[in-house]
Amino acid sequence: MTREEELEIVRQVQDGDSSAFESLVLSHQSKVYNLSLRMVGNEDDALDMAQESFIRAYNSIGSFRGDCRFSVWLYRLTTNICLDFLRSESRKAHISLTYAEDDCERELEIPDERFSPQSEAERAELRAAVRRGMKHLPADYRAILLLREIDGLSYDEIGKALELEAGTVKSRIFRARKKLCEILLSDRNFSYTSESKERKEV
Amino acid sequence: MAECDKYIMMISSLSDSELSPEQEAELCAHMESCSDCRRIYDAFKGISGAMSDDLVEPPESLSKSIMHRIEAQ
Repeated sequence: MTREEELEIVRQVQDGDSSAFESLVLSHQSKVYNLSLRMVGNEDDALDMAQESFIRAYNSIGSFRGDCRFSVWLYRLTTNICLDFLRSESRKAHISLTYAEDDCERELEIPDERFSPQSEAERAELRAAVRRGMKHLPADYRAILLLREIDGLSYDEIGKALELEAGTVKSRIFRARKKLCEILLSDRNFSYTSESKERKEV
Repeated sequence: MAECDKYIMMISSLSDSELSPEQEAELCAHMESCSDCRRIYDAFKGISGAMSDDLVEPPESLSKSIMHRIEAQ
């Protein structure tokens, strides 16, 4: 669907054609669901977050003026809904959702090639490790990284979605990646495999 | 490693294709001779690939339940 086609559908919904909204749901449900799933970490809550995102989008579609792509506006709603949910959960568990900036002063050293999988088994191992690691990444860093990696937004679009300056987007994405690398390097279930070593030695 | 400090954030931007051609050329020239920075770049790209390859299909009920809720409003 082109941006113009999408805007036309948005206008139809704004004019009262609620059934036209279904094509927006079908077009964006995969990205919204995956964003929600990686934000909240389980399928039941992700389904609730995704539903709530579309319902809120429908109810507030009158405020969408087309300054950005509809998806950018929708992912912003989804991110905020997930962050609100995680805040309420963290209040119950007394967990901080933000990242201690001074953690970033440490250098990043990658000791081996575990992040460069060659076989399907290694790729699956890396995907599983990243899934585990994302759950330990502070929620604000998780959100910005997901908008980039899953939803494919540019730095400019992420800035619009999260109301951040371009420089802040750049540094936060870097810090999120650095922190995720550190989490993965300390994951005892994710290490440089014998298969990888054998491959390098051949 | 100290001289790499100025490049490390640029490595993240390179993996997102968000560098200017001049910045990209400077960083790539540095990485030609710096295995530490090359490994960081490979790590960032590896993680990006793992995340973008790990999408799951939403439940079939999702779109139906959304439209039912909207129609019921």
